Amino acid sequence: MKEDYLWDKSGNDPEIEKLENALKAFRQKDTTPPVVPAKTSTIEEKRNNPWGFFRLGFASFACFALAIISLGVFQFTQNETQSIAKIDLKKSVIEPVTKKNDYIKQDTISKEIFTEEKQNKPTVVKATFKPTKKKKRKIINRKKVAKKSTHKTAIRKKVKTNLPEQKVEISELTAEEKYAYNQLMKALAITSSKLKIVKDKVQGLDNKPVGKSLR
Amino acid sequence: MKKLINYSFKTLLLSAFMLISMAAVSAQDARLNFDNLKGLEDRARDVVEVNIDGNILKLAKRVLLKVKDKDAKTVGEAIKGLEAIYVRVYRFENANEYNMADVDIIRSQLQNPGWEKLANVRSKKNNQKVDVYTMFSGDVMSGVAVVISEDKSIGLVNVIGPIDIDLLVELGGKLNIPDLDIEIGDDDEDKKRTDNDDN
Repeated sequence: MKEDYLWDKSGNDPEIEKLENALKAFRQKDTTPPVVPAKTSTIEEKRNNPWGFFRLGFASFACFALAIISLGVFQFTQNETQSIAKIDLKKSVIEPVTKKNDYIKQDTISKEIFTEEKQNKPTVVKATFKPTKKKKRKIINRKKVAKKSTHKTAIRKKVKTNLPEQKVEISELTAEEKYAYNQLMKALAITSSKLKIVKDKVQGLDNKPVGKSLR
Repeated sequence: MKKLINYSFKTLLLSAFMLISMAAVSAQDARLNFDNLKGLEDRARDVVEVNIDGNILKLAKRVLLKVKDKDAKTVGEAIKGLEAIYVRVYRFENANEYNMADVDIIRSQLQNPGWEKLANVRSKKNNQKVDVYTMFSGDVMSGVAVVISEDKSIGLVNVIGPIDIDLLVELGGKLNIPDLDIEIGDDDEDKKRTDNDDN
């Protein structure tokens, strides 16, 4: 093989020429530029959104606030449904209590009882106080002003008293208070009697001697 | 903006679902339904029906503070957190005048989640069945239910809210109650029964 042909292509080297002809298709073509493919995929640049960081926070806060509001509304409506309407005792009608059927309903009250109470007119203990000198002057002045004024409705300022609450007898309660009190006591008495039955039963079982049945 | 709306909508749906499930759970309150016992009123010899809740209970609590009674203050303390109390007592002339299935419907309500069995007593004497259940919301008692059925009587008590049971049992008999033959007769008949059984 002659080395000059490989160096500067001078002379003839049949073997090299044969190889060059075989690899002719892969020869570099400097003249034509590379072809750009028809479809290209572009990578979108991420925008720097200043509010993106707060997106999750805003959404979760809004949901949390909505949950609390709806819970509050639900609790409010539940309390409303549990409360019963005020009973108008004056309009209630009795069912006479007979020997055969002693039936007492919660929402009916004896007319007789109500009228008796009306006749008896329970006395209500009113708080009384002795006004001091200053207060006496105020009261006198007020009376003078009231006399002078020609208006029928005179506005009177309430005098504050710091008296302790006075306990009252059961007989001195109003009809509504007495009814509520009696109903509550009745319910608690029945409840306590039933619980006592349970307690006695349980204690009775506990107190039984163990070996009694083994004979 | 669209993504924010979509994201918020999904979280809203999730929170709504959670709210509905919470509502369902809280709806299992301590209140029992006594509607199926209305038919017993006509057949019973004596009926006591007491429903105290809402304004009447508030008024009664205020009266307890006002009244000159030794035990009123103690009772007031025992029922401080009470929300409602429902009582039904039915007494029949003869044995087996009512259908036990009616009472079993009430007992089945106590099998719902939330109720815990406190006491369960069965006695063949007079076919007596006693059930006491409690319901707790965390550490706080939210309800008590007592169901007592015998041959000739049914007693149901449903207390909603915390109540001092031990104090209430102690005060039993001392409470100033209006004349009510039913409850007085109850104790006397029980005493007679126990005396006869002992003999």
